Amino acid sequence: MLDLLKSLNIHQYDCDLIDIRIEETNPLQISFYQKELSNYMEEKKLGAFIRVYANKRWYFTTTTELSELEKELHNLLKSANISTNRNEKKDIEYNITNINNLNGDYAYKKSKEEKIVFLNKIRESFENDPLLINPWVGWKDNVLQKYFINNKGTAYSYNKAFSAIAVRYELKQDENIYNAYFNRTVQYFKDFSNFIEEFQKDFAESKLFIDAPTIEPGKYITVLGPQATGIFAHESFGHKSESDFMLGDETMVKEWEIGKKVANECVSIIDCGINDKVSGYCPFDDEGNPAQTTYLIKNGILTGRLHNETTAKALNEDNTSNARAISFEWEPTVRMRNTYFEKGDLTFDELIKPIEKGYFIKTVNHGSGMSTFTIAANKSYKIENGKITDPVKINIATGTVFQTLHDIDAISDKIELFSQVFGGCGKNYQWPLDVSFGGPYIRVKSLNLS
Amino acid sequence: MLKEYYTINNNEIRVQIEDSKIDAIKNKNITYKSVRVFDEEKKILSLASAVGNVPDSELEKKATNLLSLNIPFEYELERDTKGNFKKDKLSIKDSQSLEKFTEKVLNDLKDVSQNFVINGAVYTTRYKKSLKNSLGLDLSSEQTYLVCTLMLKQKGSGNIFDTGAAIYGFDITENQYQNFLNDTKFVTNACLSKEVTLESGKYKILCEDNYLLRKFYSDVMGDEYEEKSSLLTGKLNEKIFHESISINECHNYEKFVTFLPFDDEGIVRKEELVVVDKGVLKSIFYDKKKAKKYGKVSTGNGFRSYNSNPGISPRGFRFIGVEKSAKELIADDLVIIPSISSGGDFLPNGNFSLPIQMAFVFKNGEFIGKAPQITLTGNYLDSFNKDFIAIGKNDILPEALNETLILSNMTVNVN
Repeated sequence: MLDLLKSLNIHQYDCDLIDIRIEETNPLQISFYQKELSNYMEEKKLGAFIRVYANKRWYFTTTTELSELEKELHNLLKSANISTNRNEKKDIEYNITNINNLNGDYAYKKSKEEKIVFLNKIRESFENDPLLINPWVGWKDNVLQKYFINNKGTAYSYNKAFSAIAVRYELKQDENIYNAYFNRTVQYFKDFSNFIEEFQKDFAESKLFIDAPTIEPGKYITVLGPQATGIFAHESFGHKSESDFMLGDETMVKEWEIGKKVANECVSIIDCGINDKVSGYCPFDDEGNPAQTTYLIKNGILTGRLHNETTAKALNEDNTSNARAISFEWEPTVRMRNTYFEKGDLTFDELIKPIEKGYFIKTVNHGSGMSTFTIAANKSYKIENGKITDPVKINIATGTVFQTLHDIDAISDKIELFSQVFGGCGKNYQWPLDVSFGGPYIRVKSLNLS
Repeated sequence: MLKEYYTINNNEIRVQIEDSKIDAIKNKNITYKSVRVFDEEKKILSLASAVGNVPDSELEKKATNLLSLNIPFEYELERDTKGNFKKDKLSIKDSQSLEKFTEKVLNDLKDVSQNFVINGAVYTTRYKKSLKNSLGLDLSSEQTYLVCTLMLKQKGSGNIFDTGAAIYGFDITENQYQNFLNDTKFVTNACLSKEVTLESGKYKILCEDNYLLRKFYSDVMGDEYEEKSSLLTGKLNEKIFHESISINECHNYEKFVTFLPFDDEGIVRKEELVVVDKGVLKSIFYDKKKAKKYGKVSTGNGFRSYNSNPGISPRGFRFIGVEKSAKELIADDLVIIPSISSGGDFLPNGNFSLPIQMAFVFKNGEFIGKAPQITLTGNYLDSFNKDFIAIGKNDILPEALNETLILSNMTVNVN
């Protein structure tokens, strides 16, 4: 495919910037609903996104007809008032990188029959429970092969694959209902080997929540588990670090000056594209720039923000290679990759020991972040006298982002990262983007719970 | 063997706005299609899908091979129905006129951009859908519409955006456009206004129905209702809401740019479906599969993406029989009107928590300032019963908020 892109000789047009990205994805989804196979989908999606920058404006088009790429490019050049005549004397040496990650026993490589057998085993492990309503069990593969070229001489290809199994169900006893969700995302099939045992443990724990009492709304000391911590990192602070929101707002740039103290000193948050074990892996961004690790906050100090080429130039800062698009149908914008809190030095027991009365949010339904952030809790517990005690129902946790960053006063010593295949990040029409997030357990001095 | 062919074509022109200027122009024309085959003897089906102009014969062959997976189906397919439905009145048809429209919007909001950075997009879509089967079903629809959504970020604010503005329609009338400009000026001025001091406690809240009805949407799904996980199970034809609440499900609702004359199983909808009539629950939604399973008739609510089998999904909901004006409802009181909410959730018992990022405070019908960051809590059934006060036509911010607004008592927690 890179040969096809090279054969277009896009460097021969007299244009500020041209780049073309081809993506081939092989999504597969199998789902059982109410005890029977309800969906099986496998398809190959192949398409290209072309960008032209000329006369201080972007021109984009997208197509599934790869045999007509040159025609599409010419149409786009014409829209931008750029000549389609070539300067055939112009030559270029391409800097080409090919990264192939897909060797080994990847879960997506299992046959559809094997995947269905595995899902059936999961179903059989819980479907006859008398409290169960509307069980849904699904498998999803995201397999991506990406090719990129630009008229500056950059060309790359890379691939990645992640698979997930998710279980969604309701439990009902008398008038009480609990909605549960469990999922695991992996690369290799062997990483599903404990799925049923882990799920059964979670299923048994879910039953504790059917008639759990709802908490009295108020402000409480709250411990967030790694999933909630990751969602907080992504939704509350990560999105604010995307610097396209700062364009045209000099006051905000000054307000967000690098070097400013924005959090308690135990807080460090990172966005990284180089970890190939998580779904936020992105060795090159969609503008052809190689990934690296970016500290957003280090020891409580604002140390970086996320950029594409446009925002880096506008703010006179280094590009962090965060230009990403959800698919070949979309243009890249500033987006996160793998965003997480760095670990601290306390064990979980040490973290909760001083808490006389508080709550622990173990798992989460969803989260969002604007001026206030929100975490919709799923499994939560009381903390009493330094111990985790009874399950409770917490609907949401909210807070002001900056206040909460200062209110984090303890961080545990191990981090857990969460990849996403079912769902992903949404921003400006583009959903779902394959990101990952996570962190350790964190303790917040005061959080609004309701 | 029965065969069904489903094709969607999405032809979009998009003008993107960044930092209050046109930044990009995008063209997109993509076809999505699928073929489903049904083995009537074995009562099994399969689906093959593709993006792009893949020949039907290729998809038929693939789908036939996938029958070995034995995905069950028990229901009858629609047959011998033809129809071609069109809503094509958009005057903006090409990228030049869309660019001109966008420039006009930015020019008309020049004052706003003194204090706010405008980001967003203006796009037109020509959306075509076709559903055919080997039993003589041959339905197609075509619609064109325009959407303009703007995220408005107050300069110097630490927020991603502070407020928003939108205008959309099958065409944009001058009256609608003026309302959009007025509403945008109101919400941006509200952002700049002083914050009203509020204590946590009970307040009158005038809000859009979608804040409250999210749980209701799942409670009226056939599978939730029949499996008793709905709060409304067993209450069909019983009073569930205050008697002044009547809700229809609409296949053709201009305000919400909803045009769905048939569902993805080929059932043509000619009349609006009465969901709640004077507080009494009148309909539960079914697709063909769930209708067969529970001994009911499909309400024509089997919808799907091009690459999946149908599931139950409602179209737009519309409150009917609303006579009072919202201005009338807030004439003599202190009322909070939420404008932006993100991240809220419902518990299975109907209790909700809704964090509000932007709300306006009105006293005796006059705007007095913006609310501080608050979280609204309550129970959606209570909001339409014991906490319900009234329902009114939105004559306060006609483009920025829904057609109707609900006034009810809620608990406000000041964050």
